Amino acid sequence: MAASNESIVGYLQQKIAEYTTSIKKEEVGTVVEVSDGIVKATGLASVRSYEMVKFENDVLGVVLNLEEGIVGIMVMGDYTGIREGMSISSMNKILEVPVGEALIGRVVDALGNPKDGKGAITTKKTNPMERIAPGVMTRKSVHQPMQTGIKSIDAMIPIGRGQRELIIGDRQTGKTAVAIDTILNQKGQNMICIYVAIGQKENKVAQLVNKLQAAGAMDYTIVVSATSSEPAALNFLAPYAGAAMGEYFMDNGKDALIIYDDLSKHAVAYRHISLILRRPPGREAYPGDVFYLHSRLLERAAKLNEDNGGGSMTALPIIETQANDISAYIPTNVISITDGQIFLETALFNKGFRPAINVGFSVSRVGGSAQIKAMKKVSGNLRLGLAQYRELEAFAQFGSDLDESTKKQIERGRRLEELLKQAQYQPYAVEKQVVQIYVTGNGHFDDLTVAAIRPASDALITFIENQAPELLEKIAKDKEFDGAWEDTLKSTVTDFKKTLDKSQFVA
Amino acid sequence: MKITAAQYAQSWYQILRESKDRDAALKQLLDHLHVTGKLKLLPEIVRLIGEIEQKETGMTKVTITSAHELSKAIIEELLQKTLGHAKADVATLIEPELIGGARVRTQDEQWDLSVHGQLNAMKNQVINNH
Repeated sequence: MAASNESIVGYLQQKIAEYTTSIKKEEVGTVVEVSDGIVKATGLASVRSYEMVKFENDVLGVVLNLEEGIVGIMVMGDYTGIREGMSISSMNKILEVPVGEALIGRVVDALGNPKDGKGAITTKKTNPMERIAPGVMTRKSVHQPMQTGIKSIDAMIPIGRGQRELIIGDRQTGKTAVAIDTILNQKGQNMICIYVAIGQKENKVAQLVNKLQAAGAMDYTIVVSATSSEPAALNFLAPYAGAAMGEYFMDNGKDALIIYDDLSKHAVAYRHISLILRRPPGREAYPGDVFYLHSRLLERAAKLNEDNGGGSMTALPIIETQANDISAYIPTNVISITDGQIFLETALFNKGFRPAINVGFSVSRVGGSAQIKAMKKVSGNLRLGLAQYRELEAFAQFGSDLDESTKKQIERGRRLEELLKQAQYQPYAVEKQVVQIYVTGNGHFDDLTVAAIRPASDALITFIENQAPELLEKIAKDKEFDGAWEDTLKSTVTDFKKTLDKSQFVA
Repeated sequence: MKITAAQYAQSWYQILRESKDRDAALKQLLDHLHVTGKLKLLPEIVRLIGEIEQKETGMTKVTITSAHELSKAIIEELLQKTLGHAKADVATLIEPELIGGARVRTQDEQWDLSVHGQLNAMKNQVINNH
């Protein structure tokens, strides 16, 4: 292969000939103190806050503290090789990450370097990690739905594009499951998903990526992973990196969904860094700016108006509580920042009610205006039915001396509650949810046993898909239904019930 | 009242400059630091005194690292090229890895004129342009 050798040599010679020497001034400093991931250095007199620096051994750092004569640098990588007296040079750029379409389908670290062994990421575009959130004049109120595919959320705690909805609950209550189901349901919804794993186990992230891959969800997903084995600095930066990647899509008029899993560990990583930087600790030893840490991050989720491209970034932060204590410092902070919360409960989870969403405590402050009309119509019934059921349920435990209408309401409530149970990785399209909630909510399934509600509802969808697909198509297209639609549905349900095996389903 | 290293440095510099018996004065200052339990500030105080002295005398502290020993004329030329003046307190270091040329470094600036540095810059340019 003499020819190709020659051309490579020729190429190199040309490149070397192109090289011009110049006397370049570099800004440098010297390490004076090294502690867990934080370096104090002298010199670097004119560096700016959040500027990137490089140590002699090519490890990167970012300037956090600027004091007279001393700068505090957070090491973004392995800090064990850094020694006192080592030279540091400024890279003359504010902390940034690569962004763009090339990242879709990839697993990257907090600095945008690939972690999945699929080769280099070919994008020349970068965005600063820290950016001021879009201002008032560039925004529009949330008005388009972001369907999670989870019946209880889409019906009662609707989320709109550009909203920030907190997912909160103890460990092992299915917080990540809700997030993953939401990603799975975005297939074909014109949404780019970004999953940011902060302080998670490598094992869990690997499983999750496999799951997304198997479901074909990696075609529109970016995973930013800073696991618990990585330095606190990367755990701290990961959500900002994810937000910068999401903002690229939002700025280009697209819709993005970002999941921060989870912000409690982010706050812990920031506490670690702040304490070593000797910033004064406050409540629960978190530094004073831990509120601003999360508020500036979540403010970056927005729905832009048409003049600014009309893109959006929806944020689903996750917070892990200890023993259901939502009045701890970080949970209260994030609850007050977000536009509502989805509250998951251990008790419900253990009862087998999954997803273990406590619909009584969960709210969505802005999502209502983003809900499609058809869903709005049926969810009113559902909410009322469940509320009445919860009130009457206490009575029902005392005895069976109840009047007919109370008994009926309790029975209806049981069926509605059963309908909201949903298996993992099985998100439902919104039109199917509308049909199922309409049928159960209006008492068409009152004569079925409680246990039969879910199989019957699923069978009904299959029946409709075969016999009357226009029912689903209408909701998907018009987002609304009318009297004629209701009549067709009622007659279809009657036909469907004739096909049911009476011995199994009917009460 | 909490006294910072900068405040110590400022007063020490004045005391040591004006005192006739520097050794005795220094002993007293060190004793005071020891008694007040602030000996850990000493490295910082020394560093700051160095800075104050530099500022007062207008001399820049420069380290010139080269592969071979350099003549005074070359050092002066290097200083003129980089700092723009030759008013400097120069320390020289020999590092054969530089191959040739020299590296001029002050407290927070550096000019890499060594063969090693230029080769590195060329490597980066070839890699990044690719």
